[in-house]
Amino acid sequence: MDRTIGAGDRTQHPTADDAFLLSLVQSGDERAIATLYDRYSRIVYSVALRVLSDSALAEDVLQEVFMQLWRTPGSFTASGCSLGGWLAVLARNRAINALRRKHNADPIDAISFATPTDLSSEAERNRFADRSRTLLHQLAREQRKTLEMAFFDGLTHSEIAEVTGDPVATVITTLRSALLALREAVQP
Amino acid sequence: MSSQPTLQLGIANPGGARHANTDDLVLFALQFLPEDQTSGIAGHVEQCIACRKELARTQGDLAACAFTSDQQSPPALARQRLKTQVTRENHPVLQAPPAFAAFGRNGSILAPPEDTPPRRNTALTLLGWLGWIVAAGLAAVAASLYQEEIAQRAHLSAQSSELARLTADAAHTAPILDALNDPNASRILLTAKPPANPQPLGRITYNPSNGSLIFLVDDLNPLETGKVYELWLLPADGHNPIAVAVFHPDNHGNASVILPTLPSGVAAKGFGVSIEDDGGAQTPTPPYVMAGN
Repeated sequence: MDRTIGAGDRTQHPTADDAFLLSLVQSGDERAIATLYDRYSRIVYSVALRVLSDSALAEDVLQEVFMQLWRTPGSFTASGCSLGGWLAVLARNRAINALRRKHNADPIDAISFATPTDLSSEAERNRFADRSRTLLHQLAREQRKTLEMAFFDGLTHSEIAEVTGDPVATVITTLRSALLALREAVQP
Repeated sequence: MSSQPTLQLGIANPGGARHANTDDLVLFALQFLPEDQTSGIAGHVEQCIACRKELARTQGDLAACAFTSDQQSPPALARQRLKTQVTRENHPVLQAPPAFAAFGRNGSILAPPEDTPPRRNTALTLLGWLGWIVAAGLAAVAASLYQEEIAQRAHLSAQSSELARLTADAAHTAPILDALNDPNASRILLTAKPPANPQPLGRITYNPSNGSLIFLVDDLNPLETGKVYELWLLPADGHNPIAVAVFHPDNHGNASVILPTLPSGVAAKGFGVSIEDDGGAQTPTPPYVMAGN
């Protein structure tokens, strides 16, 4: 059995949905993980690069995320949820942990849950990204900055409060309301 | 508010259960909570459906945030790097257990661990030779098992590819996977009656309680124009065979029937495949060209 994931394999499962590919990954099918990589490596790498601003470290995160998917595909609950969203958030968490290691802080174990949008198709991923960017830019400037500091810079609510001079409670409220505003992007 | 907000599992719902504070769920999702609060919320979320749903929604919001990143392709070599590591870590089930660690995966005998040379005498020499003979025999068996496993994996790969093709356009793959992995389903092999060359082989996964059925077959002979194959369920209670579906093999002799509409609760004593006129029949035309139970 040819279990390589060379370039020729990109056509093996190009349209299969994520749940099916995950079942193949679970049975050790390297072509399935290759297809998932082709589908989601851009978002995983982009999120990691945005957080880390270091292409080599971002590539390490990319590798870690897909190896986690390869080793424990069951850690993702496939029922009606979005693998793409899960991977993107996992990439962010891994990248933040990498940042914290760099600053000698304790890494936090990745605890990930599924998200409710199907991003199997490129068109859907693009639509979701466009919608998310639009909603992000519709946020008040302070909301957007707070969310970006928390999500991409890995600053905790306390650290953001120190930076902005706002009370911690205000920072948390701002974060929650910003995320709620983005929720519209995940509606079908 | 303190820099480490407390986990407020004090908001009672009408059923009496207590839910996590929404702010805490946001901080939990962002991984901003200290370890003790993280484990507290993780434990609660595991038990509480409402909080799990709210957390999933919050993760969805975070996914939307993630997707606002400018999209950049990773270096091409990253794919190769992943490939290398995936291949290196593959075949976990093929790794020899410690008791057989002296044998390579291809059946070759690996170098034995260094040890003190034994004193030579005739009995030990004979035992030594006997050991090597046994070792060689085991190596041959290991090689044979390995080859068999490779063949099985090749067959599995072929089946997986076929399933991939069949389900590529399906709106929902989950029911198919559920049916295939159903622990309560029976697996029935259908073979040609009488034996034919090539030997067609059919596999049925059937759960009588919900009527879910998946049938995959390969190496079927082509049919003359105007004829179809028809799959029949033979009820265990002796009632008349139930028509499951008609099908045509493709150019390679492969065919499938995926989740046809069947009544639930019908125990099967077997299945048969007959050749019928186009459109199918109400009762099977003997003989069954394939059958199994």
